[in-house]
Amino acid sequence: MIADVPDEPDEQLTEPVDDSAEELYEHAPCGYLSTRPDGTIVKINRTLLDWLGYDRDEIVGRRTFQSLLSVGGRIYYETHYSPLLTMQGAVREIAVELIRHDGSRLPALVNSVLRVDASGAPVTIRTTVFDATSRRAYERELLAARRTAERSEERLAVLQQLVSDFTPAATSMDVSEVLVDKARRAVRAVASTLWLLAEDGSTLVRIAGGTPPHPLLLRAPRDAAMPHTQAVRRNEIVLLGSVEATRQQYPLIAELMVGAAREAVVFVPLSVGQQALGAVSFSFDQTHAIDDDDLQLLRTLGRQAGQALQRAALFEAESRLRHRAETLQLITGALAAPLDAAQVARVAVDRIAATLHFERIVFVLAGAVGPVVAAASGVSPAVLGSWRRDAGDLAPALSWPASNGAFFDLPEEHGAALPGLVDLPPEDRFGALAVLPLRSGTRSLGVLLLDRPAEHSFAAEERDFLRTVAAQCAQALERVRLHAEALERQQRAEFIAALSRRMDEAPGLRQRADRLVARLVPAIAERARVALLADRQLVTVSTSTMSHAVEAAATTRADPDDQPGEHVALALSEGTPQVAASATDEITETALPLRARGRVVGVLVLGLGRSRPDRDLLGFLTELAEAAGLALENGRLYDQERENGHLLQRGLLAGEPPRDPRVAVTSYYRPAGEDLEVGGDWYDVFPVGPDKIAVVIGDVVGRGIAAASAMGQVRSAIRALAATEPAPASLLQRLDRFVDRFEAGRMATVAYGELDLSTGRLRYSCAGHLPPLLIEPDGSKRFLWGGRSAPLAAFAGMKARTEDEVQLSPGSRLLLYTDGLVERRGRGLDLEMARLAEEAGRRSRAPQGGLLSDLAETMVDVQHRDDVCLLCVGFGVEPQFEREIAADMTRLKNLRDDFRAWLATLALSADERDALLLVCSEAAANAVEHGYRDDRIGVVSVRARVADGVVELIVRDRGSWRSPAATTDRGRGLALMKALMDGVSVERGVGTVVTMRRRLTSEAVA
Amino acid sequence: MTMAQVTVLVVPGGYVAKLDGDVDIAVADRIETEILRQTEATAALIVDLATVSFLDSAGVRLIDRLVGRQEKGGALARIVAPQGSSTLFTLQVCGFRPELLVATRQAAMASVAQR
Repeated sequence: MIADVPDEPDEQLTEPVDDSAEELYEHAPCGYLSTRPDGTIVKINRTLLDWLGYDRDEIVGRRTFQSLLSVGGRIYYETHYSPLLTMQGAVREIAVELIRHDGSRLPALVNSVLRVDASGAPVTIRTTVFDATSRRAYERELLAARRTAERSEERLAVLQQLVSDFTPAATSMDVSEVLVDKARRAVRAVASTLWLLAEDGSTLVRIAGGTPPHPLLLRAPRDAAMPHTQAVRRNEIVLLGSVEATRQQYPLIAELMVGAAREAVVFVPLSVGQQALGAVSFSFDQTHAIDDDDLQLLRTLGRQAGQALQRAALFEAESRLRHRAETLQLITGALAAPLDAAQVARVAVDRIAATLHFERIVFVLAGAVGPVVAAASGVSPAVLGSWRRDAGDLAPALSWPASNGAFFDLPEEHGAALPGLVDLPPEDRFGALAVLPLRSGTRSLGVLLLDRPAEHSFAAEERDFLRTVAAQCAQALERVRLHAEALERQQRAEFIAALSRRMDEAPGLRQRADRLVARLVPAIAERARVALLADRQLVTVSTSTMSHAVEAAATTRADPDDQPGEHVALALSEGTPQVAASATDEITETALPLRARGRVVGVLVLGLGRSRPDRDLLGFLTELAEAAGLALENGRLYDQERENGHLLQRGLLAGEPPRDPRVAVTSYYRPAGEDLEVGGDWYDVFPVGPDKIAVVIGDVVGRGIAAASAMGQVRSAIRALAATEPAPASLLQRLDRFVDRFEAGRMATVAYGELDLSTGRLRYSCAGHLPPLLIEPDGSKRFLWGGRSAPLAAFAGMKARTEDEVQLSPGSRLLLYTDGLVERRGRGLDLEMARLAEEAGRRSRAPQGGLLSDLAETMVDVQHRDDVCLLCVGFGVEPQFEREIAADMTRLKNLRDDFRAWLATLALSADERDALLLVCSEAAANAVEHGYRDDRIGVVSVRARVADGVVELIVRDRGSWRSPAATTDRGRGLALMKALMDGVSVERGVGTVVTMRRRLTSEAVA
Repeated sequence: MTMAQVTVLVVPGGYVAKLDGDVDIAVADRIETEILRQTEATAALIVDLATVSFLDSAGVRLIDRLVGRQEKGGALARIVAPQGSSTLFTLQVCGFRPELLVATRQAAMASVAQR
């Protein structure tokens, strides 16, 4: 090593060589010095003085050896050097640093030898000094080389680590995590940020790291004058080595660096070949400087990251494609099932919510009158509710011009396009939004809105995918629409056919109209009204309303016919369907003309709900109205026919019975069960002289107008003949001739009688008619079988007519009837007649009012196929009023009517009549109510008579008596009785007997 | 069988409930239900009995309840019962307050208008 120490140049080298020992000492190639044991220098050679830059005088005797050493050297001298020397007598190759006169350091190796005297005491120390400058430099180089090696090894390890970290990174997010986190720590940066080029390559978007304080650091066009864009553009590292250096080119960045106390920032391109996919920045503070090797490392890192990103991008693209394919398959599969548009919407929303990452999904259908939110996900109930009420805000989305859909990455972008979406409360406001029209051809079926709360970049690939999803939804909608249309067409055709059938089953206009509206409400309309023109007046024939409440309101309101509305008037005048301009009660009316015989005969007014019917529905309704018009017209014709017959018959049946207190006439007529034409039954009662009335009942063969008119003729003939013919038999003979001549009423049957009111004698004759029934006041009864002969003008009949006579007692009743009452399929006529006699006898004390309907109901049911005609003649003034009524409140009126008639035969004041009638009714009501609370078939009997100027009224029941305290109402009736009668007594036994008396006023008695 | 009937009409200031036929225990409840359904106790009520042929105690109670309901609601009640009618007789027997009873519907309407 010493040999390597280069010779110092020596100014004396040119002089003649003086090899004397002194010369050698002074100019030896090493330094010599001698010191005393305490270190004081006593001798030093020139070589060392030159090395150190001292004069001899400054050193010898003045300085110690150790004072020439560096601080560390001095300590070493005291702790090792000196003790070793003392102990061993010599030290070798000790490395020290000597301090030159100018303060610089001289690395040196020293050997020292201690000389001792004879006693062993130290005398001097001889030291040789070798210049170790070169050797030190070498050693330092060696060290530096090693450090460099270690550093690059470390970098290599970092790089290797990062590369191995990149390897499993499947997504760009994984890569970015490695970059901004691990790489930052590896290069000892304090912060790092990652930007990647957006798919279209025009924008550099921040992906991870830091929170960039400037928008351009968030998103920047590729050609922006920014360091990260530059790194990408040039695919080169951009080093901002200091704030000062940065200020000129990027003043903005320089400010940011100052603000964040950054010394330097490096922007590293993430490159694949000649392209950069993005850039990553690393910021450093003063604790770490960047050298070329760092930059080299970063460059390599950038390339590795670039490759990892590309790999991840490919992987992501592939998995995205796979996921989308699977999702699409799922959605398409699910959409195959629904049968209506609402279901399609629900399924689509459910599927999209489950498989795609959208916060809100709104499926809007194009309804007849505007958008309908059919299904939604992620929307607040309030907003959904408001949309359900009125989704008009979404209308712009429905008529979206871009059939390819529109994609808004930022919330503020769609504000102008869909103002309604921006008016939503903040929490419901849409973020990044995809508006996907659902179309079939040019027809808009709806729109699908997909939203993410924050900004989102809809990549081209995603857009394509979403369009495909929308297309699938549209296809499903179109499928269900076609399905529904076909179904609807079929249903509508069936509906009209069934409606016509149903209407045709009913005979008359009104029934048909009722069936029409009943069928339409609520199946098609919320309310329906059939109004027909009669003498230019619109008359409502039938009406139906869905809600009872509305119906109730309508009855108290003005008749809707008063204000038919312009739509109705127009439908009538134009003969085309008309929709009302405005809704009333939330219902928009549609007026459909009803046609018959080529004319508009009326109008069908339908309330179809709030919305106006579309053309499709109007077409259906028009078709329906055509069918309904025809059916109604047929019903009208039927009615007309039937009405004519009935008019004729009713005109003939009607006629005031004779007003005479000695006779009470009641009649009953019930046409055959529904749908049948009028029959030929009739009855007649008319006076023939001051004390005589004629009583007629008859039955003309056949039905319809012909029968009715024949009956009319026979009836008129009888009236005419009665005026001249003295007796029933001769009248019938004359009638035979009449019928024979005019061919009207042949084979008709007639019972004819003349009752003398002064004597009670009845002369009668029956031409083929069933025998009259005579009921005595005591309930005994008999058929009048006398005076029988054949029906009118019967070819096979005997020509002679006979008659008979019977004496009626006061209070007896004569019952005449037609065969409809007693002819029943499967029952013998005799049995039915016996039953009639039985039932009539049981009712001998029943009030005459209600008696005939009662009998008819007992004898035949409502659906009876024949007319039933009954005539009852009550004869004579009863000395004593006796009636029995069933325990039924509705019978009270019949009782009162009879009692009123009986009272009318007495000479009473109006107040007396009113009082007795009231008391009778109250007492009977009490008997019904309290006597027969549990027994509705019981009987209440009422008896009244006048004796010695006192009216006695007895009301009797045989029911189980209940305490009157049970109700206060009873007391009221009782109080009335007591107030109006002189005496009231209540007797309770098996039943209850209430006896009341009232003295009549003197003039009344007189 | 003639069923008693009721027709409710809206007139200035209230309602007219026009009854027909025999108003007795058989029909009183039905009539009352109908009147209550179609009128409000806050407007005047004229019960027109001009064409009622008979009124029994159940009919009297019905009218009494209607009057009570009106007066509780702070609204006017009038009963039209023509002179000499059995209806008037019955109401008088039952001690109805004379100011409630008027002979014609016009008179009743006039008293409604005066309020």
